[in-house]
Amino acid sequence: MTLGQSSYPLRTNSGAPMSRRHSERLSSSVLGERDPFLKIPLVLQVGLDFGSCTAVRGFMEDLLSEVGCTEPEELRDLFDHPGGRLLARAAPVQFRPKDVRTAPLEAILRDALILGLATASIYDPARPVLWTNASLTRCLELYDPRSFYQ
Amino acid sequence: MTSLFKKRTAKPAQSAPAERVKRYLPVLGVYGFDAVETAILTSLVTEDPLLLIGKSGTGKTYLLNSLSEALALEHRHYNASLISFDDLVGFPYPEPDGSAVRFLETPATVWPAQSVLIDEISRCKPEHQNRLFALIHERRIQGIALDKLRFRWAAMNPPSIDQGSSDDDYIGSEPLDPALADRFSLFVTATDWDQLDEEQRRAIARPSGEGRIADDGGVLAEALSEWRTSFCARIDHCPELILDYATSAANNLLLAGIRISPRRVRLIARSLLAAEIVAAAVSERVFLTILQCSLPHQTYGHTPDKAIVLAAHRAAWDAANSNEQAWVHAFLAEPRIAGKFQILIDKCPSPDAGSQAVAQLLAQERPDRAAAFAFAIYPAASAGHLPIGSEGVNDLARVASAILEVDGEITWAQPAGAAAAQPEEMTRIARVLSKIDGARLSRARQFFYHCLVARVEIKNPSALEVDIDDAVTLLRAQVLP
Repeated sequence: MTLGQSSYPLRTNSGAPMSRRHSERLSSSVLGERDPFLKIPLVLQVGLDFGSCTAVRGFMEDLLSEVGCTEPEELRDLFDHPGGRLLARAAPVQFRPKDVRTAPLEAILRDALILGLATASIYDPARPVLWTNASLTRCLELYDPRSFYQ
Repeated sequence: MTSLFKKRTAKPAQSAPAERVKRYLPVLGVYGFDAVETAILTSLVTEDPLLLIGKSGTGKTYLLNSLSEALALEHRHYNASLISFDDLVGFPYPEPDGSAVRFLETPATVWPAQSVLIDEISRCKPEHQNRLFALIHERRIQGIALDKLRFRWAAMNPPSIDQGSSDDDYIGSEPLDPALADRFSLFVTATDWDQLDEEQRRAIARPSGEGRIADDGGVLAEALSEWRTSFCARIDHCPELILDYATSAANNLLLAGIRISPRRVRLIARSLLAAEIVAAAVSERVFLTILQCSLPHQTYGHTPDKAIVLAAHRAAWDAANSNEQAWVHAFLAEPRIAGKFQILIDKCPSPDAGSQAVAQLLAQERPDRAAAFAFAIYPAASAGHLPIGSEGVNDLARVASAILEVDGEITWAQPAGAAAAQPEEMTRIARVLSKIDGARLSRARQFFYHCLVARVEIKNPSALEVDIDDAVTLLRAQVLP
């Protein structure tokens, strides 16, 4: 078979490409209220903005002493916090964490308590309150994941 | 011998999720092989040689020809007692310039075959046996590779022991050379009339069975393709339990005077791995069936005592399951996500052990299945309803977080002139989603959107969706009692 007789779909110099490239945006979430059937409710968002402060733990321990506590564990009795385990994930960029320079002391300590009970992926009130630079500077959303199985 | 029986009460055998009970052979018109169906299907998965042994008229040839029909194979059926070498290779003729000899092919020559049945292999002349040896063992004839050949099957009557002095003795059926017999992976004994149940007898007696072409609509072929893919994926990571069982069984049989060659131990391990995939469970019964069908001795008239084989099996099973990590093996080997969850709930001794098992699973599962597992389990694990520690939840979160919220772009090339406006993958997924609704639809859509955006290849969207839904249903009882 010669090239001229070929049935192979050669379209050289025809002015059009052999194929077109398509793209489509996919956006979907089962977190929050976006899905009509499956909703994993947002329980709360927590986060603290320490600005340029790098001694985060020391700063929080100073605030702790202002309410007469010596250990972050003591905050459990002072502030409401979710009683069951929750799914945690990083808060979206538009979330505004509480500015530690201007926010009320109670609000800062409550968020610090909850952050101390969370990792990057779970909030667990049964674990000890751990304040580290990493835990205190996270911005988290906490969801109740049980409705995923409804 | 003493140690063989000591271990019988050592430890309770590990239970496992229910085995797959779906039968494939009766649909093909093949009856009476229920007890050994897993072994037959296993040989299809491993593509190792299979030998059927049985009295005349027990359906050996019918079974193997039916398998070739159901799998749409280019099949060759040779009678070894009548075969000549030309039947296999064709007529040799020299090239005109004398540079080489070629074979003139006929419809019966073996070159294009995908499956070969060598019937009456025990009635074969010794010189032909040697040629068949290379065919069975190496997939070669005259040193030339048979590249298309996948399945090597043979059939024989029980070997003559007392030279025809009873009705059950086939005088022309000679014991196989043990070296040839050892090349077969599995030996399946066909059931005679007196061992069939009434339903099987009536099914066999139906006149329409004669000459019928086996056709199950591609069900077996599709299942085999899945099993084979899974087998090839796992062959380099054979679970310790299988290795423990195969070596222990060989040791115990040797103690009882039944020699098992090193090659045979490897064949047993291959068969166990495939059988586990076919049965969809780690099951003591399946392991026993494979061990019983892996012994070549009956082909040369040295049928082992059933009680010895059973004792060797029990000792090997107990030894393999005495490992504290046996549940992890069962967890990793279980093909259904819901089955994995059940093992985790029932068997996992601690959150740390659960975290380790989850990490292993995420590392070795196929990406679409690992994603499905993480997606289905992560909410329950994060809510503290499963024995998985913080490390394990973090591992799950790394995979599942991206699935719970998807925002990305898919791109595809559409050939000029083509009508389709969607990528093929999206069309496949849309077909699955069109059949479900409510929260199930939301979960499935979320998962598949992630796979599309993250370019995770989904082998079987429909089966994976069902798998996820089964897992969610199971966990619902844990999370929302």
